[in-house]
Amino acid sequence: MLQPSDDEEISPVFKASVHDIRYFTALLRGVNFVNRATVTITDRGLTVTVEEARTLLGTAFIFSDIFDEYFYHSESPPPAPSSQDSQEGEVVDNAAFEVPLNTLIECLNIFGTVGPASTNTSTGKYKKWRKAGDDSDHDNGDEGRGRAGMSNGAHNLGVGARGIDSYFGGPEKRTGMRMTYVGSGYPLTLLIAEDALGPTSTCEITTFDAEPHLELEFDNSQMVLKIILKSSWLRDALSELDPSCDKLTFIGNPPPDASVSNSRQNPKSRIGVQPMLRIQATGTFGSTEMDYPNDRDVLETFECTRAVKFSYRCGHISRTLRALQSSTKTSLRIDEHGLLSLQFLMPSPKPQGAQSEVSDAFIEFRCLALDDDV
Amino acid sequence: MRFRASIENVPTFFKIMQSIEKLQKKCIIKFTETNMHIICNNDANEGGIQVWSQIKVDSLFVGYRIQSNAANEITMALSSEALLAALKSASPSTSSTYETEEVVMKLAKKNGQAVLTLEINSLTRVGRKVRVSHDVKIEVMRPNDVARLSEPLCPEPDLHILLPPLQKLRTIVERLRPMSDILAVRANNSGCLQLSINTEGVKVDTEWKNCTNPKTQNAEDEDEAPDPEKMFSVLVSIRSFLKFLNSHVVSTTTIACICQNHCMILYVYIGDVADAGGVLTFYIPAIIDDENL
Amino acid sequence: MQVTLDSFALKSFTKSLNCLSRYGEELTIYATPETFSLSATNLSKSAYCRFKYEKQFFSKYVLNEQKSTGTEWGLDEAISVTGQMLIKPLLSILKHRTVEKTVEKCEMSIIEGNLRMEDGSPVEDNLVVRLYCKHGVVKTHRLLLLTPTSLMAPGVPDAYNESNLTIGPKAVKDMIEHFPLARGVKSDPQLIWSFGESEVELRSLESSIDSKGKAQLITELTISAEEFDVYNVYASPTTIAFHLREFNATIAFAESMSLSLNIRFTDPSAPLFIDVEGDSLEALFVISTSQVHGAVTGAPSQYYQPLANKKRERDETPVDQNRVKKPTKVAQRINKLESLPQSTQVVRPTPVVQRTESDMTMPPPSFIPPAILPHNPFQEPLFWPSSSQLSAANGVAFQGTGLGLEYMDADELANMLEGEGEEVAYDFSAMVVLPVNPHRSYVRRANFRVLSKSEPTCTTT
Repeated sequence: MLQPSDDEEISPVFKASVHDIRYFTALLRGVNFVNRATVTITDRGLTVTVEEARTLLGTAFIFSDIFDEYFYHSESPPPAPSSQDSQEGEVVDNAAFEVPLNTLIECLNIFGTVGPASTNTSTGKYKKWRKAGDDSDHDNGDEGRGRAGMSNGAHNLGVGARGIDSYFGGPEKRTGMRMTYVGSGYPLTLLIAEDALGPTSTCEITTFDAEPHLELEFDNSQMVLKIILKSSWLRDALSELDPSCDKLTFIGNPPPDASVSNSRQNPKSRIGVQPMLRIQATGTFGSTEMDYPNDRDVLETFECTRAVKFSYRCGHISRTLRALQSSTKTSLRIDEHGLLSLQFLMPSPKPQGAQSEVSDAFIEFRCLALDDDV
Repeated sequence: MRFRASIENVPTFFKIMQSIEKLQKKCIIKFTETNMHIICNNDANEGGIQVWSQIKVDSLFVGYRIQSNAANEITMALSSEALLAALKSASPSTSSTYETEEVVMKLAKKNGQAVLTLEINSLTRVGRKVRVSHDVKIEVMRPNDVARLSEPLCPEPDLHILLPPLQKLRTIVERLRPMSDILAVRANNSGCLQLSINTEGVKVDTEWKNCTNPKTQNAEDEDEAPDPEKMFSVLVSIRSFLKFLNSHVVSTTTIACICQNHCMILYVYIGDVADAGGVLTFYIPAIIDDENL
Repeated sequence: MQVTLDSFALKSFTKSLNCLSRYGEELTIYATPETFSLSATNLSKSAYCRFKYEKQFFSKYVLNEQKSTGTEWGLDEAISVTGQMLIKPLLSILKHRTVEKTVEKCEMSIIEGNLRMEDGSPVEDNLVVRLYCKHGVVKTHRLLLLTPTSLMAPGVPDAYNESNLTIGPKAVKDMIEHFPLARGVKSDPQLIWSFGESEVELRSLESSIDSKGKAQLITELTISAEEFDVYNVYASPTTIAFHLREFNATIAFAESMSLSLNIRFTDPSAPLFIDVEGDSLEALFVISTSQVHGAVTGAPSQYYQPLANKKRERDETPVDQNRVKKPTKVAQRINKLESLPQSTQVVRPTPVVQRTESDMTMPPPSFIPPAILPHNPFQEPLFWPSSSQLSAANGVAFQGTGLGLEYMDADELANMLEGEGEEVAYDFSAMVVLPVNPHRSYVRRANFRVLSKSEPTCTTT
């Protein structure tokens, strides 16, 4: 370990505590598809970023107010030993390090209290997740059933269900946590306790210097498609795809005529018309098309300047499923070059007294389009 | 050689076998006039965990009759899975929708093969009689071989401590398993218990402060009053420890003993400690690794 | 062809598909103006199931008159549509958990690829499954459809010696649940059913096999025949044995639909027929049975239309079909044999390989046969890895005989059988299938006990 042996009096760069770790853990799980994650700490909160195949970038934005206590102390004028985030030239005051995300989540879940999805951590949840592309259909089905049996209602993720709320219902004991990061070269330390009488766990997770990662800037001025829809629609669509599918295409068409679009049409007549949003995938045994009409119950916002068609690797898009599980709303944007931005709103637990409004965190995925469509 | 008994407490027997079956595919059962001993002593079993249990006949059986030339003891080796499957079928709580009236266990010989037969008489949903019989193949052990069975030798334990509910421990140890192969168990005489892992990537210490240290028989030790804060520790294989934790299905109270740098002994009581129907004793050998302690 | 199912019908349809998927991997669709059938056969052709829906089952049922492959197969209906496809992709679309919640109706159509591509290659047929969901969301799945290689229709048994039973699915399940399954996906135990005057007895042929491959547990269950709602056994006791895998699938289907099972069988060499009837639905299941004492008949092959399996046909020829029927005799024989002392006077015209344990009653080998052959290695993967019933069962049975049958070729075996007093129908195909596999040796041992009871079958008179 890189732990310096001297100075005990160092004031930590970062300290945060929360009385209920479930929301925080759910956010981390949303991006837990690659083990090594970059954690960036700023005054306003944390971002946790993972990247895959130089194509896909997943970031969880966790605002400081979800913590009961949040303290960030800048590591004095940084002589910038690591090149973290300095590429842009702008001076962002932050601290960054890398951690094995899977280990961090396992540690948070040491008492098995972070919520239903944890039930199969021991059976290699992470592995399963990684190969979601292979077998996702069945896995999802099984998980769904398993969970439904576990906590009633928690996963009847009907169309309007606030997925993540389920993590916070019930009178069960809460597990609290204090997280400390002394600074570069130190481990990330977690102190986890269920209640005053129960056991406490101290975890020290080795951190690594942050490496620069993929930059995928989404330029709103180049945006050609913007859709806001309930996350459940996208989640269902992705989970229904045949596991053998390797290519997924988003097709958007400008609404034919604003005046007609509001009326509920008979589905038959819609087939001939170009659907506003079509998700298309091709696999070994056939192909699938999912068409979404211009119905406010389905597509809350729809902005499309021209006919758009971009394809992505199915395996990459299905990485979002974990985040989609707990998300309520999704914003889907595509720019001229096919860069896809998916933002998932992750509703925060509403405190009982509702004294303080906690900002909802969100998770963003950005993905480059497959070449053949650019 | 005769043996016959009615199993009165099928669920408990079933749970005991559940913990045993997860440990070893084959086990030895020794019936004496007063006790049933289930033994797993196979060195081949990974991590070297052993079980030597003693269950009072009265806590499981009624109408217990045994007779043999070897001091009325019968010792047999059998497949734990097969016996478990037979008990499962007799177990009203599990798959069977029949109402079990009586379960008789007896020694028999069928086609020249010694078997332990479970005869289950039950009623169907509509109250008709059903007879189910399971013949579990056994090998009756010769007295010479039985005599050679011996419990592992351990030094006087350094420490006794009551474990928190095993189910809870199991959750924690399951989380640790993907992170480490070795688990450190530490405890002292003032109720502190720690389970730790320490690897290059992560170090996790889980601590209980309020465990009970049971009074040991030899009170002289207490006169010497060793430092109650002194921690004793032992390193064990996480997999072995998890195998022991499978006994959570049957446990009420569990006492852990640490023989520093030698082994861990775990007494899993079936029923109340005061009126224990039996105890499963697990031996887990220590992993000697000076670096991490 | 275009059919439409409402959400209620879709649920029942999906249950059928689920059952079909446990019988086989491929689904055969056969639609006539009046009925819509789905069928599947397991790899070894030892189990078959068919769901036949009347057109009333569908909210819309249209059959185009373009294609008529029915005549080709000698079937009556002139207008019919057929297709064959993998079950899994279709099932996974329909059984997805979101389907039940959101789908309002499901439209299935077969789009025929009559057209040819520019390069002359044919466009494949498609099965188009269109799901109309809430809020006007439409999901369209296109699945590849092939022309069936064969249409199999089981013959309807109309035997004088038929036994028939009716029982609710829960009652059968309760019985079977007492027979522990060996662990592992490949586990496909066989149960022996003896239908007596007033009692039914079930016995496990093998279960709880340990790591060394020895059966460690033998289970028997005796239950009153009254547990059956209808109990007509032609000659009691009748003893038959069959594998559980497909039978369990049938029970699960019947249970999910709350329908009774009507079971028909004749003798231990003919298959078992199960009918499950519901509203606008007839389901038929055919499962081959094995003779308990080790001889297994290739029953389904007598009932099926030609199978595209030359090897099998050729192998069947040595068997004189007329010799198969000895129903009551077989049953009696088994019963009688229970009490018979184990006989060692096995006389055979062909050499025997002694490959059994020392505690077996077989005499030591006189000499080793000249050719120990892994017959036709190409056949092996066709059946064996699927652990499909018939082949496995036969394999077990052959090995179980301890006669070294597994090492003979068809002619040798036929010769051997000629010399026998008892008439036993062997399915020769299975023998070819059998690899010389030391790992399967447990089966031989496990089965041997059963064999010994029926040994006279294999002795000369």
